[in-house]
Order: sequence, then C-alpha cells, then structure tokens
Amino acid sequence: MAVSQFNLAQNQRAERKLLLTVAEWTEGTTQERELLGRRTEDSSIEYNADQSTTTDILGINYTDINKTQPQQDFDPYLILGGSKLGAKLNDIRRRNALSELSQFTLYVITAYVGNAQDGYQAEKHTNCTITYNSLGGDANVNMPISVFFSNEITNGTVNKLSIDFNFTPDATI
Amino acid sequence: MPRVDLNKRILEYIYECPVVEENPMYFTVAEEQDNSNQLLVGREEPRDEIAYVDGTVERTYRAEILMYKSVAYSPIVTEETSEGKRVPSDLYLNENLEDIEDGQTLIDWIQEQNDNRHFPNFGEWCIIESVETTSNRPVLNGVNPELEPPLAQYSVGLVIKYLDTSKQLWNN
Repeated sequence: MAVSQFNLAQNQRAERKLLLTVAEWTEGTTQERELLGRRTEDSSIEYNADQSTTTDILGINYTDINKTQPQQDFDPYLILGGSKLGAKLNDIRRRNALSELSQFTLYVITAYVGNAQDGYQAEKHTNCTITYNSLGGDANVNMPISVFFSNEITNGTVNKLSIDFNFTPDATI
Repeated sequence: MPRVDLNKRILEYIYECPVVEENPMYFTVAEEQDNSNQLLVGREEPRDEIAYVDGTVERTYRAEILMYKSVAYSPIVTEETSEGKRVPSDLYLNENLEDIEDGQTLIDWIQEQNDNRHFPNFGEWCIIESVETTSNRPVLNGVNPELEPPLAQYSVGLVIKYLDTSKQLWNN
C-alpha cells in the first residue's frame, strides 16, 4: 500500500490541533467518547522504545527495538463541568476500582493525513489504560492523567472530526 | 460564522450596572462632563494567547471604564466631640468621597457578576472564563482643573478571559 501523503502545502507546518487523541468507553449500554487535551497546552505521545544495541568487533552498532510502550500525559487535565471522562475517572478513583482503568479504547486521529471526503487516517487502540496521577492544584482542581496505549492497533479512517465519527478499518489485502 | 462585536457586548453588559445605566456612556472618545462614563478598549496581543492542543485558544479582552466626576476642593469637615476628638461631620459630606463610591459600586457589581457566573454574551464560539477587575478600588488617574467644573477621572480596569473555540476542528 502506498504511503499516504500529508494534506499540507509544501513546507506548511501541521498545527497541533490536527493530532487528536480520543477516548472511548462504555457506560452501561451507552458508548461515550471524549477528545483529550482540553486546557492542555502541550502533550505528546511518548513511544518509550525498548532498545538493545550490540556492537560487533568492527565497532558497528546494531540496534533492535524490542517493543514500544506508547504513553501520553495530559497535564493539566482540569476538572471541567460537562467532562464525561473526568466524571468517569473521578468515579473510579472514589471506588478505587483500578481494573476499570484498563477498559478504554483510544483513537489517534492524524487529521494531517486524509480529507473530509475520504476520511482522516486514524489508529484504534483497544484495551488501553487511562490513569489519574494526582488531584489538586492551585486555583482550579487539576487531575493530570496518563494514557497508556495498548498497541493492539487497528488502522483505519474516521469519516469526520466529530464526536459521532465512524471508524472504518483499512481493507486487508 | 457570524462575527460577534465584543465591544457592543461589553457595553450591553456594563450597562446592566445601575451606576452606569443612569449616566451617559461613551465609547473610546468621550466628552468629559460630570458623571459621564467611557469605555476604553485595551490592547490584546496575540502573544498573550494560550493555544491548547485541542485547537481552542484562551484570549483576554482588556478594557478600562473611565468615570468622570466633578471634584470638591473643600476639606473633610470635622466636628469636635465632647471628648475633644475630631470626627467627620455627617452634615458636610464630601463630594469626592461620594463620587469614588460610584466606582466602587461598579467594581463590586462586576465581582458579584463573576461570582454568579453572569457574563457578557460573546457568542456561541466563546466560553467566558472570568470577568474581573484589575483593582479592588477605583484608581484616580488625575484631575483636569481647566474644565468647569474641574473633573476627576477615575478608572476601573476590566479583564475578561475567554476560550475561543472557533478554530477548533473537533465538533462536540
């Protein structure tokens, strides 16, 4: 399959808002979604590659990547009115129901690849973990969270950049 | 997306305050006269904006409300009590004391609106965070003695923080 090109003009930089992380979970029988990053100024997916390097007798290095453990931190993650994920995490925190932290699906949508007509490229990670790191702050209540991607990935596209998007897995050949 | 005239929305909002409502309000340029008010819009620099990863931007609207008041050059009249202490007389209220109270009433009103989350309407794309004053007391900027009557200019700084969601790609 050909590599998809960016939908950007030559030398145009991709704005940060074109990279979206969306959490999805089930509440009773209802599927809920929330875009992560409200009031967060800076957040990156850290891949945390586990690497091993050997050097042969000629001094040449051979580096293997054994695995990646992608993680994304959101700090601040403010307690905001209307935030369903915030309420969900707060409920889990109160009950100390830690196993429920690992029941999230995460979508990484790269809106700098694709378009509104054909859809935007996305990765769906199932069985991911979202954890709260602390609770407090100064003027506003902050509950920074960390998102741990499962690497159980389905590649595909989303048809729109909206809470009610449809995810379509790529066709396998 | 229709553009919202923030200045008009601020004027509408400030006009809800009784001490402003009962007096003439000017925008940017004012005819200085006793009890007139003036809204002066401040600078809003792009570098002060905070861009969030979801595409929303926190912006700040700054303005000053200037209040013109005639001044009194008479001292605070005091009376001697039977114990020999000098206290302000109720009979000789000082105009300057009364006039600055209008500014204080405006500040108190703005702070009360903020506490009650009663904000100006910046349109559907803006979420207002807070409406605050830059000082807890009106500031005396100066007195123009060449006017008749001489006018004092008091100011109340206004800072409105709001979240502009218009450039966000994501649609909730």
